[in-house]
Amino acid sequence: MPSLKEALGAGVFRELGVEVWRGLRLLFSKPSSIMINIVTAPLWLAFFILTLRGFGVLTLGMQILQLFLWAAYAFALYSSWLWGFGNGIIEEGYEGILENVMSTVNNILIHVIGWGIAYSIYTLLDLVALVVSFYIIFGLIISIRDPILLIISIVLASLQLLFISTIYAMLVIKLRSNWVITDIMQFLMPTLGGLIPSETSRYVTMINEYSPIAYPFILMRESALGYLELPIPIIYQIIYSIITVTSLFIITAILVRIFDRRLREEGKLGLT
Amino acid sequence: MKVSRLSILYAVMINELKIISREPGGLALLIILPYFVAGGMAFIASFFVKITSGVFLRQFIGFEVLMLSMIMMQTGARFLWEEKRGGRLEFLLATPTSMYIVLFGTSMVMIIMNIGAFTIASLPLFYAEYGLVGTIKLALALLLLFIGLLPLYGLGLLIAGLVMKLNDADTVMNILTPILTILSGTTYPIYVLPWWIKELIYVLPMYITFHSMYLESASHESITFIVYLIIATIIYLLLGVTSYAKLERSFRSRGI
Repeated sequence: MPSLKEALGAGVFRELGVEVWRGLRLLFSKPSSIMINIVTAPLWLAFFILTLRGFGVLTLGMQILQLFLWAAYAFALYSSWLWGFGNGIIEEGYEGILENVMSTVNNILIHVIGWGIAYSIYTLLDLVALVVSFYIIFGLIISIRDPILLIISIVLASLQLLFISTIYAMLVIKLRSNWVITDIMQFLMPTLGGLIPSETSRYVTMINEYSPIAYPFILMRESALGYLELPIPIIYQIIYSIITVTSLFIITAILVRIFDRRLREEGKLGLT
Repeated sequence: MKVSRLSILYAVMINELKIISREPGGLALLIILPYFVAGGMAFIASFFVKITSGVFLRQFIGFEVLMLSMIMMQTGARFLWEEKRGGRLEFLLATPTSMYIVLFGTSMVMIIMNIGAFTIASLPLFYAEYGLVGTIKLALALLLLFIGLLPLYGLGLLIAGLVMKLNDADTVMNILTPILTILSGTTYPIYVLPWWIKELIYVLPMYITFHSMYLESASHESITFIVYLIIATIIYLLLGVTSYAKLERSFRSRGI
């Protein structure tokens, strides 16, 4: 007979599996929106490049385009996680879905992580759409020097954004017009979070070096392009990222616990 | 008691204004967002070329026109869609108030809001570039913006027909927005595009609105563009109203 601890662990994983499966079914239930994302991505890219032309940028080298590809992916990730995931949790709160979730799972944290894992799989489509778009418009073939490091960086970036979006959602859920903050955050966060390549200016290098959330995105470019962006060995960058992700997980767990208790006991959304 | 059409229009506009002012953050965003987008793009471009204040102002006007155009085109369609989804469209159609007044009132408020946001956002840039004369240039540019937003509302009514027919506002908007963004021609030199895309850009009012505003700010105003905008306003509004009339007839005969 399994011990109580084992039974509890198995229960958590079963609930997590159910949440991941539920999230995936929900995300892939609208193939038309997936198609629209893939079809419209080259159009947005064309607009971006044309606008650079409007500023007077006439030519872009292949190396610059590779950097643009990863910067675009980083922006897509920040934007998707804040809007699709963070805002999704806020909407679940407003529509009373979280109360229903509570009646089926023990802890909202399991729901959030399960839904987040499903969402991180879904965001891989953004990368596919961008790679296809860069190929259609520039004939660019994506270069990946270290695939394993790239996978590690994408996993770390996804986990980091999962926790950041959850913390963000818990903090702003009570605010009116919180979508305005989301809109501003989708520009501010990537700037502080490793979107801009370090070689652009020494100030950016400084931001990237001291911002703990920048490392997964820097690792992404380093693994793809094969050179060090920061004067810090790769292994240390991975360790810093893991420490950041772990810290964010602990903060998320604490905040979700407070949020969960408040919602169960007082029926109110938010932390205070 | 007979209520005049003007009173009804006034009431509709005040109502819409109250609804919009419930979210002051959204209004603030209208002012801040162009700085983020134009500023972000200028930041990226600055690694390749030197960005002068004149170029930035031109691009800023371009982004403003683009953003406000997209809002304007979505206004009518979104309004009808939200009313339909909330089950209020039936009631609106049942009231003696003409839907044309409701749509005109809501769109006018949106135009006023857009122009207000543009004024606040652009004033510092116009002043920095042209000094006090810049405020006069801005006032004339605002007039052109007002004329330029009217045909977009007509275009929005055409889109409303598509939204109602396909029964999905988000899908239609997600497809149309990037297409119309590229066809706006407001943030890039259109000569780099193939001739047939250029023709499409000339047919739509966004590029002419942007270009006439930019020329106005650079003291090279062109009466041809203003005449073009007025003609475009008449044509697009007529097309939009005719399309909406057809849509409303189908609502009344076959239901929503």
